[in-house]
Amino acid sequence: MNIYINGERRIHDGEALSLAQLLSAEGYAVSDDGEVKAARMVAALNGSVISKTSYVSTTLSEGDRVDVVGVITGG
Amino acid sequence: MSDTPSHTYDRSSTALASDESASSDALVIDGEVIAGRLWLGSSMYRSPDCMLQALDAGQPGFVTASARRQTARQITDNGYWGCLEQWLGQSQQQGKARILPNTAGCNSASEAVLLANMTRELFETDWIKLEVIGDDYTLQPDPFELLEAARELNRQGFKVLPYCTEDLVLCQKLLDVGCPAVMPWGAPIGTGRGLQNIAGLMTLRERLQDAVIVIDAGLGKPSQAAQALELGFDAVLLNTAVAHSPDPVAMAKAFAGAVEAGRTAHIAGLMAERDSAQASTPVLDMPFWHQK
Repeated sequence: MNIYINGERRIHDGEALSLAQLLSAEGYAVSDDGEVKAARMVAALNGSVISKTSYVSTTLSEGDRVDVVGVITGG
Repeated sequence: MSDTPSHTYDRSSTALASDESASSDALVIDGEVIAGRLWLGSSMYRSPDCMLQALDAGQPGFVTASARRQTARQITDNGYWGCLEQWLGQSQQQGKARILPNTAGCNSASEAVLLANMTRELFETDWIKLEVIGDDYTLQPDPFELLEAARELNRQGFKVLPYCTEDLVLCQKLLDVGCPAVMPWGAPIGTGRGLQNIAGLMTLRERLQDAVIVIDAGLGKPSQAAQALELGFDAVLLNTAVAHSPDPVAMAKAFAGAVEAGRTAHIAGLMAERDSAQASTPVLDMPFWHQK
């Protein structure tokens, strides 16, 4: 299964993959059971913001695009 | 477009307009008192400490920030934001500056709406500086995409402060769709040219007398900020002029003084310009008046 995270392709060969599992595997401060330890990050799936409480219940599908954003300075 | 969220944020610790402690000249937007008429960006400072010192000196009403794709390490090792978050926490407890996320870098309404929703989750605020750029060379806003995004974000409960041009009809339509203020450019972002179209801006001010109008972008000198306030604009938002000064702390202080001077002058009332000279010192009883 191909998943795109921040525009980069990842190949996943296992069973069904949750958003929490993907983020955890990518090193984000999210445990497999969905606990988000980094307060200042937001994930979007295919252009829609996903609530932190839904990371575990959100199952990814072939071709899904996941974006993870954090804070930057700005004008 | 995203669905309407189930909640909006209302975590302001600052006073409401009806608060007796609010000064009579308080800047009020969407029913909330904004702590200052100088608003500052958080970008391009040479160090987090320099940024914080400049913010202390400028005492801004809003501090702008944004959101971008980040790796796990970038989210963890975010020195600027770590410092700014702590500063903002203390500031908001004192009823001072608050965060204003932006949608910088967006070129379409759909991008801006998504990024705004991301910033709402990130920063826990409904305030959004809406930027939708239509030309990458001038960074001029795209009025059509901007209006579409503003309409949708207002529907979703955001407090939308749109970065726009001084086009009167555009600004009126942005207000009509629910924006509590408009933010026309003084000049293109980062140019420091000041108020390039004073006639157009004054038309805007005169025709939209009840609207909150903030000059956003293009200011390079404190005198230009003072001019904006003198002319009756409600606040100014800038970044580069402070961050790129050799002494950002002193420059932030200078802008704060200029904004205060400009606002005070506007309230006091400016004299009418004349075409010809008129002596300030009385000539009556001059002993040798026009004697040759």
